[in-house]
Amino acid sequence: MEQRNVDRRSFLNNLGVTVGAAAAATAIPAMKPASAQTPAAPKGKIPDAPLRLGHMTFLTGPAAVLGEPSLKGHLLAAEEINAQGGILGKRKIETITADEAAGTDANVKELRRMKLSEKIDLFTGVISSGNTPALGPVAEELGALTIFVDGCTDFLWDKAVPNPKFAFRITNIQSADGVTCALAAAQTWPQVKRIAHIHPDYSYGRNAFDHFNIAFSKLVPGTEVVSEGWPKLGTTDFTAHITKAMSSNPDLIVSSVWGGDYVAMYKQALRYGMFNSAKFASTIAFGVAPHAIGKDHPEGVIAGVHANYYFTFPPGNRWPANQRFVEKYYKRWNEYPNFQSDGAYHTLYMYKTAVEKANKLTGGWPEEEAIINQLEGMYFETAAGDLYIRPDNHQGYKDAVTGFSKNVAEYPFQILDPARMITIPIRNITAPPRWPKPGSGHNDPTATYNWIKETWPQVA
Amino acid sequence: MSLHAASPRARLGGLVVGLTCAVAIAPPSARADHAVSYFPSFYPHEIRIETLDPEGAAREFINKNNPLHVYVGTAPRFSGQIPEHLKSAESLKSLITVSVNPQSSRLQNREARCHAIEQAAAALRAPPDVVMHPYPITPYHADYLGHADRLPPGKATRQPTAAPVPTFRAGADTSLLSPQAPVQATDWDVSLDETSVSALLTDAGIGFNDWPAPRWTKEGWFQAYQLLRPALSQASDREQADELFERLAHNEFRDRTEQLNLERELLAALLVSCERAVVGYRLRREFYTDDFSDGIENISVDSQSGLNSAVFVRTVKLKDFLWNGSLRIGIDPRPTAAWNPIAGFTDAAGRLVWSIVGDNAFLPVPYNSRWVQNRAEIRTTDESGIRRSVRVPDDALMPQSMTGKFAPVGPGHGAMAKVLYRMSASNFSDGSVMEPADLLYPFALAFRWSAGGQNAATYDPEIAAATRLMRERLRGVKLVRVEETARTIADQTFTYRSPIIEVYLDNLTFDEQEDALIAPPWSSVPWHVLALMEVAVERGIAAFSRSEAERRHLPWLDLLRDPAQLKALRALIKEFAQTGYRPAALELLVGPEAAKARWQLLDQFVEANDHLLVTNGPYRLKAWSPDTFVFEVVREFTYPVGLGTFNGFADPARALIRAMERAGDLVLVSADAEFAVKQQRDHRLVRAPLQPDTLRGTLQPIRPESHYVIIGQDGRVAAVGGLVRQPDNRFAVSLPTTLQPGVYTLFAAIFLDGNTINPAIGRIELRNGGTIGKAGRTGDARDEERKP
Repeated sequence: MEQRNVDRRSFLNNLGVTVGAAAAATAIPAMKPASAQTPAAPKGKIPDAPLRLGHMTFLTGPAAVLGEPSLKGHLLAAEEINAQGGILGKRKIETITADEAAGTDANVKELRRMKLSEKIDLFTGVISSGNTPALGPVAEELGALTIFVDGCTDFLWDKAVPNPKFAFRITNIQSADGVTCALAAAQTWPQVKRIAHIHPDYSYGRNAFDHFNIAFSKLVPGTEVVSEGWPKLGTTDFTAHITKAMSSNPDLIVSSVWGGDYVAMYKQALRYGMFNSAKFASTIAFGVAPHAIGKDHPEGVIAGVHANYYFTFPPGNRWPANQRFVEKYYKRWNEYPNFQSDGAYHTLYMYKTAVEKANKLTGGWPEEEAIINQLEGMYFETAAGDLYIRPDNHQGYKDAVTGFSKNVAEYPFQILDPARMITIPIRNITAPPRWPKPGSGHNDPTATYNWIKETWPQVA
Repeated sequence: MSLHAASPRARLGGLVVGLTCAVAIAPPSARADHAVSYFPSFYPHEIRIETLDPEGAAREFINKNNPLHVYVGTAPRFSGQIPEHLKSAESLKSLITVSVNPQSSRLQNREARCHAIEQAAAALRAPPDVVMHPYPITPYHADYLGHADRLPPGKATRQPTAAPVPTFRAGADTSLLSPQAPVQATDWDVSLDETSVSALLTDAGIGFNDWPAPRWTKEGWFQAYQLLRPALSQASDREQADELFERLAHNEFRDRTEQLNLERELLAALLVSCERAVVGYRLRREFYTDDFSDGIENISVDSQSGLNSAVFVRTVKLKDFLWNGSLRIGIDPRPTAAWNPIAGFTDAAGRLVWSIVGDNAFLPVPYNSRWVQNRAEIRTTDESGIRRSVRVPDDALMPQSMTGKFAPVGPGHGAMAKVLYRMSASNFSDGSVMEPADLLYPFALAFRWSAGGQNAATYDPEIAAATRLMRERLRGVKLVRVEETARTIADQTFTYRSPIIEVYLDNLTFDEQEDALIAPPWSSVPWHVLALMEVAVERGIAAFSRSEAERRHLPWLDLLRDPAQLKALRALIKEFAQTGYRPAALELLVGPEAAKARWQLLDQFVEANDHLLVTNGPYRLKAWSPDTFVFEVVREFTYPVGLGTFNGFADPARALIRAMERAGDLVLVSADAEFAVKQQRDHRLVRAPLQPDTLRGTLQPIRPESHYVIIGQDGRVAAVGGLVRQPDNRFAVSLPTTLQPGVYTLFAAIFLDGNTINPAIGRIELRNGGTIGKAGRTGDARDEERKP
């Protein structure tokens, strides 16, 4: 393909990348958040049988650090809705929980049990991308209306469920992680040439590596990967990877190490002065709970939030929906929400809105088909900004967020710098509808990777 | 896999392969994101144990650079106020007894002795950590509810009378005495003593090392027997107590009501002669830092060993890390017991070390007297839940006494119980792969070192005591097959192999878990290290136990800290690597070449690590000095127990009974739940009505276990049972129709998630005019309604 010479600043502007305190969610026609709306009287006769919802998330194991916020968000929304009499004022929510740590096979069985025995009306939750590609086809087979809170792998829609009817997903797609990080780094540090990588040696790390590189190389010409470190699962001593990266004399070190591994890595890196020797960008440093990262974490690094929601974004009450959500969540749980909390909470309100809209059209409790029709193409206000459900792949799209680490007096943990938030409209960094999937004309890791490779200009 | 070949070797042939196989397969896909569903081992990636005196611990808690996280065993000695960031946990440390001098001329009759004990108790001054409690079973024993009537409320502190206070023995623990209490070196009346629960259990042959412990280890009746039985002077009293004890130990009772009556009779038999009595207990108060950044959380406190427990190290988490981080533990005093898993690790430091590096089949539940599955899973069989004898397969194996050699049981043998285990195998730290010989060899060692008495070349009384129950009841063991399971983590799949083993026992019980605890086919130490220790003892290099070491004037066997022993052990390893030595008991299970390979691995291990503490536990010894021991986490995915497995034991909920009332044939109990709610890096305690949807801090529903005991005026237990949750969220006792007319007291408690520590017990008096089951809900309700 012939390379076009486009100015980087122009291209980033074209993508809609914004930075600073003024950054705000994409402009969408003003709408009232569902949680703040007083629903109109429902049309027709509404049964008062409880609405049975299944929420599967990690309640045990390391991923419980993500699972608990998900359940908290879900429960908060359910409590609020029930306090108003339930959906359509009649049907209160009863939640059946399941521990996602049971394993993929057990989770599939549990979804079947929930649908066939417990007769659930909606299946929600799921954190792991190891599980959504297994559960999605089963949801389709069972005709179980499903809204995944996470499990963000591109593979779900690229391969596992290419033409979904019953399955939806509210989180941003995984490829956005690496691309968002790349855009933030390119905009902030366009002078970097030598890049060292430290990624966990499994598919998430490879996904982040691939998507960062393809996007960054388009935006910053002449870059070179000077070091690759692939810590094995279970690594506790990152010294070899840190020193290897540092000895390659990089301008920028990129990492997608997460959770307790990231904490161990950054504390070890502090001892080696790694953050003083090169710029640092992470896809997911702040991607667990807000309180997870201590104040000894280096300031001024790109501290990704999994290209998703962050509780202080946008700062200064520019998005009242978020301020309300954070206040309610904090009042209920005495802690701040993460992107799982946001996703699980708004999943219920999105469903509630779809039911109410369908009720207006059809009266009574709407058929599942009618609810799905409302979900497809829905624009919906969430704490993370406006969410759009793409009709073709049932994927939720909201602006990706990242930013720079900073200590502030108001919080006993480190947060994203309120003055330097970066936001990117997700649709501008994700493959468009009907873009060829892997195995259909290309064998790149994801459709988005191929789309970036094929269509993004090489900036000058 | 069928195991019906002719010889044990042939039978095991298909199994004499590694039982652990973790294969990572990484397909080039993007099917997984960052969330990892399983992480092997537990939170800290390093545990550092340091010996610190209480003053040193107080200083290290406020060390700015590297603060102490937890101090195990006792309280630090603070020079001023206790720092605000510190929290403490309480557990039962010791029982305080008054023993009557059998030579005291003043105390030759029972009444005088009983009175002297009362007077002695009244002469005690109780510091804040001592609770006056004139009964051996305390709120820190799981069986406390069954004895709740024995300690009437408000009667714990006895008032002195005008009668003269007995003289106390000088040299005993007199620190609890008021200054006015008379003390004499000779011609004393009573001795005041304090016995730690850990010492009591050690004396009872329970080591908390590689051997399984009896299920009743933490129960009050068992500890009371160990503590009070030695003071009984009359043969008839001893015989009665022994008979009751044996009936309990052998499950010779029809039901729970009879069991409880036996336990109460045992206590009465131990106390009737007033020769020794428990007058109180001391609580252990252990401190840890709760600092926002540098503190620890997810704390599980054992009712009797406090923070020195296997489950504590498997739940504790540094707040500044989602997982990983270096946990700094202080302990006092310095370790004195030898470190060998057969009859060592017997002091506080040793127990802590073993709980870190060892990995027993079952672990004690912190807040009751049950055990939780760790490396063993009990499988249901056709015989499960049925109390009838079973045939022992001809080809099941039994170790022979003296030699330990395994031989087929042969035809015509039966057993009262069969337990089917699924064991979670994993590699040992020297790289050796777990094999059937590793699972079976502890049986051989137990039989070999427990027969023949002191004159035998292979005998150790502490091994005999620790394994008595297992040897008495084991009737056969059979390897059935090896199962494979796959675990997918991110885009990698790990395959684990688990041996399925049948164990046959002569044990009568209603409780399948109790059967499973008697002889789990498991060892946290490989057969070659066990065999090495045996040879070392046989060749006079050392002795397994402290008592044998003293008797034979030998060093106490230590795998680490005695350079002379280590040198001798290394020489043995070199020798065995040449000869392919394997003990006679294993000749049919292990070939010479496989044995050589084991010794070579061990040789490499000791060369690299300079110690022989080879285990398959969640942590490994990394470095040590006389006062510091550092352990590193096992994050290899071959280790099958993962982060969060035991989190349900941290910060347990507790029930508080609000009210009890009778409604006809029902007694209704209203209760609140007190539970910790996790918030950011902290917890707050919340009290709320106990409802089905009340969630703990882990967002798991609270599972109540409710129990009642009905006791008649004659002190006999008339009925025991469980309560049923009502639609209005109260708990109901449905009074048994078999209850005879009379006056009774009903005691009820609700153990949230099984938490029996310091329970709130409700009581109500019942007058049954014979109308139960006849009068309906309004029936014979002339009871005194009481709140607890």
